[in-house]
Amino acid sequence: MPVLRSLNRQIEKALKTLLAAMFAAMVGVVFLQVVSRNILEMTFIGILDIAQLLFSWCIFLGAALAVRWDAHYNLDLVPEHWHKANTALKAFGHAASLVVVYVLAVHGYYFAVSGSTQEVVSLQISGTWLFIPIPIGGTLMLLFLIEMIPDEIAAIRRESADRKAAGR
Amino acid sequence: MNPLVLLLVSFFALIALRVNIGFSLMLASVIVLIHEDLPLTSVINQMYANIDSFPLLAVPFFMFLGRILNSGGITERLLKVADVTVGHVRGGLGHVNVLVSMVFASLSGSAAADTASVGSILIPAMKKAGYDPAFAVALTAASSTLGVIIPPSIILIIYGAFGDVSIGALFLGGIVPGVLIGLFMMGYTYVLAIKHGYPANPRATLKEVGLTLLRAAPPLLIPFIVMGGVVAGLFTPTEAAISAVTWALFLVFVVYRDVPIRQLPEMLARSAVDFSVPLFTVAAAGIFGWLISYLGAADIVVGFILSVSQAPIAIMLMLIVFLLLIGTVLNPISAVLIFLPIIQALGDTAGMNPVHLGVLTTITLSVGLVTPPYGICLLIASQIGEVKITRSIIAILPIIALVVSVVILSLWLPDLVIGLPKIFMPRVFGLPAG
Repeated sequence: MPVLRSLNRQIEKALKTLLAAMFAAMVGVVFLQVVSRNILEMTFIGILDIAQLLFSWCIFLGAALAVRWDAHYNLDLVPEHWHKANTALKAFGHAASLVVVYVLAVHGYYFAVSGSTQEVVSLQISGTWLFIPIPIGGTLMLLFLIEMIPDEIAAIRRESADRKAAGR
Repeated sequence: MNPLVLLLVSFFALIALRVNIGFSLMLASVIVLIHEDLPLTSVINQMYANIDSFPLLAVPFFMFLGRILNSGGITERLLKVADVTVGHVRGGLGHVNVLVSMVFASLSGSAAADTASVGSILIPAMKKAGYDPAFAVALTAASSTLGVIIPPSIILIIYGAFGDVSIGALFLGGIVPGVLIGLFMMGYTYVLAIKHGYPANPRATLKEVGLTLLRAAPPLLIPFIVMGGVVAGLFTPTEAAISAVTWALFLVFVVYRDVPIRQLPEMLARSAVDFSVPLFTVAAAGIFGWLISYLGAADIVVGFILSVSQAPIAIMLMLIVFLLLIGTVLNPISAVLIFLPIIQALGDTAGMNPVHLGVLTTITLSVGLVTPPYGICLLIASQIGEVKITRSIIAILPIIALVVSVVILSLWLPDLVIGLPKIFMPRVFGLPAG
């Protein structure tokens, strides 16, 4: 577990840097498109394909980081002060998410491989580059979840033990 | 089990069990795909298809714009503008709260960001000035929802991109109802101020008004860059968003120097995560929405509603009630993506104009941002104001009634919504230009 924690910390740091760089590139590329189209009155071929490529990478890598930061949308029906129930639901939600992560990682990989037969003509790159962030995002989610779920189970056990001790 | 029932039941059961909404959409779809013996690769196919859209690129840029504006001192400048213009009216801080939310809405379009930034300044100030804390919380949360109605609005972008409706026309259509809701909220604040003796701020001199407006003029150019560019046909919404971002970056880092440039990478990374969450939900809704269509949900719902009444007004009222209910458990983005085929089928049956329908849908769903259990704006504001959520809910009910009355009014008088788009974008309505 300490190895996984350390690995995930490094991944988180790297993802933040990568996301900042990719999003900055996205801003730059679309800005260039506005300037070239409206001021220079010319269009660079493939500029929008670069933006779209960066867009899909940002979404799936960002979604993986959002799993670690618990930033995805969810519905909180249980009152906040019911700590144990909330942690149990959180653990269940994360465990159920593993099915989704499997689909993203495995079927996303098959889909990305099948994309190698296509070509992004304007950029002269394989279609795999468009789809590969999906399985990568899924794999990163998996790494984060297998650290988070045991922590949540441990928190539930701790709370039960504390309650028992207080009861005595 | 009927696959459509299985899809909906498993989705709502999963979100109730606190599975993230995007993941619930996918997981419910996976269950039905397995049940129907359909290939799981179609999940990925539909996910990618849903985000492969140039108009959607506007979403990250508008969200980034919101973060830039919040990080610098722009919010304070806008607050001063609101104060010198409406602060002297009875219930001054309440009016400032509403007006600054309207201005903020015209700059970025994120309701939650508005609640956090405006609320952290105005809720404590209102409490200190003797306002009922629950009212301060309710007004802050409710006025923040104008962010999804007054353009630029992320939900209107998503509605336009997936509903094949002009985003520029939707933007224009949101202006009058948004302003009307703001004015109704100010009217309600005035009535309460008279009843409870809430104070007014001192009236600013003409010189103070002029100086404050001059200082805030650069950020106030943003709505003109966005709307002017889109309406004049100079920019697509995505290009308008990037132009506004460039201008805001220039203001924050070069003109005002409120934020050190070394914070830019952190802002970029945070923004990337900010936008990846709704857009991952957009991607996940791809397969769910496809299944909703594939399983014929729109026909079933339309058939049911027509069996109750065939009068267009009754159909629309039932749709509004349906959207209010859905909004309580789903955020507006997910609700639009999942139920768009049903919303449009009902709108077509009632003979609604697509722009009119899109704006009414967005306003109605915006109510969900302040109604439990998903009412994120109300939760944030209650936390800032340290007010129990039950008290905030009671305080917000009259304001929700005002918003719903604007929805009904806009349904009854379509020109409140489609009047401006008809004037500035006549081609969208098949009218001759000029």
